[in-house]
Amino acid sequence: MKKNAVGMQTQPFVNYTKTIWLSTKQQQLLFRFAVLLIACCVSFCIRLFAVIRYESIIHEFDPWFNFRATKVLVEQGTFEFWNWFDSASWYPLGRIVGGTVYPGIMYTAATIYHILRALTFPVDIKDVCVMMAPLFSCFTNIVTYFFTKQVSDPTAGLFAACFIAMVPGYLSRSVAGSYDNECVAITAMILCFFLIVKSVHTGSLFWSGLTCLAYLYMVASWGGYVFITNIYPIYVLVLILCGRYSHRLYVAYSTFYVIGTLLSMQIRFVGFQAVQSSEHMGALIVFVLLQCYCFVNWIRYLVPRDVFVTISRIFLLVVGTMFILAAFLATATGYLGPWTGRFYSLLDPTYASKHIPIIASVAEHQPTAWGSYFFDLHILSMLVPAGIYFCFRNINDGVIFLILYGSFAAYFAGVMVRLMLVLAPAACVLSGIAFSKLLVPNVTQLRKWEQNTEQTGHDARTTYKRVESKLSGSKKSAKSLETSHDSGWMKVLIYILLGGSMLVLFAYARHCVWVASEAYSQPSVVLSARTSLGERVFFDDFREAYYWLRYNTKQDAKILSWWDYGYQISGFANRTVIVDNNTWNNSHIATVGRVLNSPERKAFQICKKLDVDYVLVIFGGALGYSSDDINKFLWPIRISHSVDPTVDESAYLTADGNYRVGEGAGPALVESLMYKLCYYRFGEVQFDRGNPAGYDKVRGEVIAKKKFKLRYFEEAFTSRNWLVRIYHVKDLPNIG
Amino acid sequence: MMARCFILTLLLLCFIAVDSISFMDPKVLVVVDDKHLYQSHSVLFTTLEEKGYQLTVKTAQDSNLSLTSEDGEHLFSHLFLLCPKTFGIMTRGLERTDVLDFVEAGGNVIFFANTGYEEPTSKLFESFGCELDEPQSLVLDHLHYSSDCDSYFGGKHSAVLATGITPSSVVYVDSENKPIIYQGIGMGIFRNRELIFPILWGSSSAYSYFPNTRVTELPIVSGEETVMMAALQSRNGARVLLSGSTDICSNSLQTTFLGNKHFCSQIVSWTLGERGMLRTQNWRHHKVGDSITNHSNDMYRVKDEIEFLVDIEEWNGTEHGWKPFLGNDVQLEFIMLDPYIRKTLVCVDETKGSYYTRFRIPDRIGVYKFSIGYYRRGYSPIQASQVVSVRPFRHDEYERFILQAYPYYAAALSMLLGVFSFGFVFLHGKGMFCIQNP
Repeated sequence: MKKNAVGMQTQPFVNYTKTIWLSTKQQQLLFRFAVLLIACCVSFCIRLFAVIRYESIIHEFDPWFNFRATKVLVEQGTFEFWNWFDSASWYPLGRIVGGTVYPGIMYTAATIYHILRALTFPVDIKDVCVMMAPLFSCFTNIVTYFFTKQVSDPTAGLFAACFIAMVPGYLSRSVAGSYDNECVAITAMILCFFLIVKSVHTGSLFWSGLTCLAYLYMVASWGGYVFITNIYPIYVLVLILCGRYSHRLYVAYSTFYVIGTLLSMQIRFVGFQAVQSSEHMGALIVFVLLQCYCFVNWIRYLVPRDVFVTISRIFLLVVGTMFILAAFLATATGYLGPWTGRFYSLLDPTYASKHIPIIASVAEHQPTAWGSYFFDLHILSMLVPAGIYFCFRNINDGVIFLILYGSFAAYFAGVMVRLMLVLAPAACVLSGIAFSKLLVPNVTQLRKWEQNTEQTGHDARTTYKRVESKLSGSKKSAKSLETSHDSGWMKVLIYILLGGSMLVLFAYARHCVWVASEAYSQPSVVLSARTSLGERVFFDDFREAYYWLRYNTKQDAKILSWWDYGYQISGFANRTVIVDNNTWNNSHIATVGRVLNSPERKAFQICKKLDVDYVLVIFGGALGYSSDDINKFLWPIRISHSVDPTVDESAYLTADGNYRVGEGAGPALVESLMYKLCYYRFGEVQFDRGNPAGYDKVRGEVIAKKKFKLRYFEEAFTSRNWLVRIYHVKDLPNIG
Repeated sequence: MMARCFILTLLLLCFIAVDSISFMDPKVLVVVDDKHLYQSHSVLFTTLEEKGYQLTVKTAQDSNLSLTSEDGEHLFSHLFLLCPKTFGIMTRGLERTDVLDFVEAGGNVIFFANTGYEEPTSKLFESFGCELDEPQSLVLDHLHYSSDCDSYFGGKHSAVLATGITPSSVVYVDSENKPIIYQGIGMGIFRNRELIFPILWGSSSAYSYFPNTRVTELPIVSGEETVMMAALQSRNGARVLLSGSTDICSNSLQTTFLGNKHFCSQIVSWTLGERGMLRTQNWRHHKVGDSITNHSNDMYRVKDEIEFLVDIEEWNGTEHGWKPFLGNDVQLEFIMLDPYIRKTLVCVDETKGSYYTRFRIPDRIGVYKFSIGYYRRGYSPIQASQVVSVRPFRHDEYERFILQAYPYYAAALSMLLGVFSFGFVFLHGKGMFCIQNP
């Protein structure tokens, strides 16, 4: 954390450095540049744990699709990518990828790849993809610096940049290999915020135009652009209500709305949603309100007061009626799209689990546990209130935006774990402000006292006073100068403060490095664990199985698995999958769920209808891998229940309503295909000396039914640790 | 029939299994209870040998009856079992499962059971989907029997006239119109088996019971359900012929005034794959207007007009070659989960057996398959499909200027003009819109 110390001491060094050939301003720039550079290096390096510990590999699930799409873009060109109809996923429905994807990250990677190639660097597209996230985290640092600087001051900016370089909440989504939309979208989002504040501050068309471009990039990158689409209008409303309306705001927002909306419509996935869906209506309404407000102001300027009151009444009445009428008509004719479930679940955290199992089934859509605030933000979670306090102390248009952003992000982060990502930058910026406001005046003061003791004399004192008050602009420091006679106590206090801050920052850095190394650098394609001796062991079952599929099955084989593994199967094994992580068709997923939770014969019939050749299940019972299909199994049941009400969840549970695989397990569970495929011949093997045969390590019990035969499926492959099991769907019997 | 088509979606390639048996091979293994049984059927076997089949005759006592060599190679492509008394008991290397595996691999099987059969025989019959009556029972018919032959068999009214013969002209064509005499055990066919079908059955007064006994229980089968011979056309093309009697094809009944000789040679040649074996060749489809090539597209666009062609051929056992198959009821389906299009194929080239249809692809993207599911009694099933993707319009395939959009073009233009004129007035007007900020 030394760089922080350097950052905040730039100002106190002013006096000593007069002798060096650089001017004060140049030195400031140099220091800031150096701090930013180091922060960038740190942020890049801290994200490389995954590459060093494992290998240069794409992580998780969604990145595999992004990677596959990027390969198409690089190999076949823009037009082919734009028109890409992927017949290898969602068999037999297929998926129009070009129109259902946020292409920002793919275009970015392809551009970087082509540039590097043009510069004759023989890079592989995979490595470009792997390194995208660390690279963009560097950009995020820089953008955060400018954003904070715009809102507050450069010192706070440096703090914020250093914080965001390693904040776990953001790091979790941007380690090397995590080639996902979010890794570029966060950069784009903060760039947007910076430009919004800049354009509102300046009221210039130029900055507003740049905002629109940044917004376009954001829309192209991530579905989270809706956050910007909504927070900007809210910000405008708040400013108007606070009486801070200005023509700068009018110019900035009107430009943003018109051009930004037009630009966002160019992304195929968004298209006419930008003017039709309910999520975008807030922006439109505020745009209209802003015009009305401006118009009313203009009228007020033109006509006498009593006439104005009448006019404004009529005007309000007309506009109000028209508005309500339009809203009613649009909803009634179906022009306005309905609110999507994901949006409802933002407002009401329990909505999804009540109504939409497919949203609730995703772990990262669960409400956040309080512990993860500390885990993902560490001390920042405590500094945010202080930051907000200092923001209120020194209010301006930009700061209001920051406060709004922070509070909304905090709410959303509480609703969904994954939106912690949005909160993390806000927390960094606010903490940066808190730190700089806490430390800068005090350190300046300290410096002053020290020089005071060295140089006595009235002249010197006034010089410092002038310099200080000019530089820090802080009344407090100027005031405390007057009362320097009791500086002894204050000095001790400030030292304690400084020391404490150093400790806290040190703890923060340690925590971040630890989190990066231990928690967030798992590719989840390769698993690792520590033995009792502390050695690291790797379990490469996933790749083993996927490569088995790649080299041992027909080119056009169709693989059925629960949707979590769809992207990985198409990425690694290059085979057709029935469903994948792009959960666009709920009923198709429900059909797959029906296969897994039906008895063998019925499952076989559905498999035949879907032309399935192989069924793949993830089974952790032998290894002790807890996020396997048996543990996820209630979701396939619930999701197929939402489509086919004959699926009865209680039949899969024990008599007293528990989910168990051992003695007393639900009858439908034991008969289900998932159970049979997971536990086929499991009862014959004793894995540990201490446990009986058929002992499931995850569930901690011996399975209910050990001996059974498969009639319509045959085992094709089981990986080394039984983690992945693949079954071949038999043909219909030849003799009937 | 349709339901079966949906469920069964095997690709054409699936039929070319690695170790499948070709029905064109002439190697036949004949297993008889004893030499006597072979001699009593010599007429039938001589006919087969004249046709070019290589018969290997073994008795059940032979030491090696294995159908495969030590390294798993199939030694025979047809199996003729005349061993109801010894099958599964004395036949080493030829158990029930061996026969089933043989059929799985595509081999044809003929099994003639007879009075006094043993349990493994009935088990094998059950595996194929029919149940033999008790070993000592016979099919009896007091109204329809041949008085001439009956005395030969003991006058029990057991030499019954088989009045029901399969109507499939592939299996059997009755060109002589002579009576067929059956003397043997009756069978019943399991209702839940869809691939097995009766070939020969009794009249409405026939029933299966112990002869010379008072009927005290309900016979297992009676009336027209008294099946005498049944055939199974398996999905992989293999055929199985099951008979409850060895006598029906024995020399003693191959006389000129009976139809037995013709019937036996017909159904045996059918079972050995001389007739009714179909295959599809040269699947080709293309957009209307594209030149016809053997290379088919694997991607079409919605609303494309496409032509589809396929050659269907039938094996001719006597000439030993593939000949065009001429039918008028072969249908093509275009399926994505459900059949979107179902068309009857028209034969356009009778010398090649080329079938043709053309249709417009529905306005629905997805991965479709061309699928032919042709199941006709006596013919080997055709179940083949070919997958094609149907993509949406490309970005440059839409029309550029359409009539309905003219209001929008007008709106855009008027907007341009409006902004321009407003700007002009605003810049050069005389302070009409100027607001002095307070």
